[in-house]
Amino acid sequence: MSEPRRGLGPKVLEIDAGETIERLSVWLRRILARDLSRRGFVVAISGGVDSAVCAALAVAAVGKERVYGLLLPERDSSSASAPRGRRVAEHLGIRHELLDIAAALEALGCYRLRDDAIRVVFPDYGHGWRSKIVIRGGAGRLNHFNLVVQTPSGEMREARLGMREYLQIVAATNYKQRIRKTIEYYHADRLHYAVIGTPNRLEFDQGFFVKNGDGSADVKPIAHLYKTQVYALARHLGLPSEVCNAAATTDTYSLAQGQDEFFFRLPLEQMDLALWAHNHDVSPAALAEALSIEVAQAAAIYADIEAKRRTTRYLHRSALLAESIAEIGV
Amino acid sequence: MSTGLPEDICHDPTSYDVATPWGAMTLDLHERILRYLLENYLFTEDRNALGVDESLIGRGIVDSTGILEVVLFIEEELGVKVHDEDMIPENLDSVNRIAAFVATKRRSA
Repeated sequence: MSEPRRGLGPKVLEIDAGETIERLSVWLRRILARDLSRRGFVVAISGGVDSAVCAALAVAAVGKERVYGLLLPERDSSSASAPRGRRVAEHLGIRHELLDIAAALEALGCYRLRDDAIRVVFPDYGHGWRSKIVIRGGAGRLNHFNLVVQTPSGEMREARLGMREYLQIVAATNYKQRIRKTIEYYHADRLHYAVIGTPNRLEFDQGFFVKNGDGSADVKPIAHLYKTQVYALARHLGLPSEVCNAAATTDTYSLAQGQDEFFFRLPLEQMDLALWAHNHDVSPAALAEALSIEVAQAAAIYADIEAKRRTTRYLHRSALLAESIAEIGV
Repeated sequence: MSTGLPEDICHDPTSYDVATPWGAMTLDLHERILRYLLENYLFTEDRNALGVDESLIGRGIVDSTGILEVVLFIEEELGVKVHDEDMIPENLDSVNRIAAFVATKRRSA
């Protein structure tokens, strides 16, 4: 570990937004032609900053005529998401369509299977209730998952999730991301386009995605960028202010769930800096000073980053082969 | 020292106070916990594959989902309730720690 670095702060995450956009545009054009042999890009636009920036980068690369946008809300999506996504698509001038996937999810039993598991913990859970999963732990405790519910009258309740209920809620909820990806690839296939995945660096590094859901794509143009940098690109690209100012949520559970609640245990701005610091061998002492936290907490954050990398390695793997097949380079 | 217990679960009888019911109970607990982890996490019967003091988290055997499985095993198979405040590494992060935690809970029940 290096000596405490002077001046560790938001400045280390500053980038030349214009140069970054130009470089990514060139790269997207090159890989589309050379590596993917496709004619354009499909991008699902959630209303959040990541997908908006990806759509804008695609337009910068190949022009608005070669980008197709998808708005894919469902029952638990924020009512603001689809309208915001549509404004992004209209701002960029791209073809787009909205398909509400609630019926498809209903047919698969997504909501029923999730709610069955919730009712093991809260038997009264039903119509008008809302829910989300949060991570608890810290202060020496092991990370574990709690279920938070809100009754129709607004009362909040919380309880620890047992393994079976936790896995079933996540598995059922994962249908959302996987159905969306299925739709993205339908359009990619019919248009002969490539699918853009929109994770930012924190999400990609820490495994905050669904395997074969939002984790699946042909290209991920912002997977190397910290969230703070994605916001910088959004402002430089002139995206609507509501997108540039939107807080990061999962938009997956019926109770608004901040990404920091499900996966991270720091505010996102601090997680960006912590991840950067860890990646650049900054000591826990220096990080602690920069974030105004205890050194022990900074060390625990680094340990947590590594733990999540270990446990989510599974999500990054492609299929393992019993023997390599050299003829096709795998 | 004769323990009166079957040889195949007395892999190191001098390590435990096997003369007392608590000692015998702790041995049996160690065995059940070790076998559970070997069978369900490492898919082996090789007793040397996991040390009884090895950190399950440090070894990458247990993560935040795996901890839920361990808790489920403790509650359903060993009959001990795990409260939120019990979910600390000192109680759950090795075979020995789990055994000691369960034994303590049983004594105070």
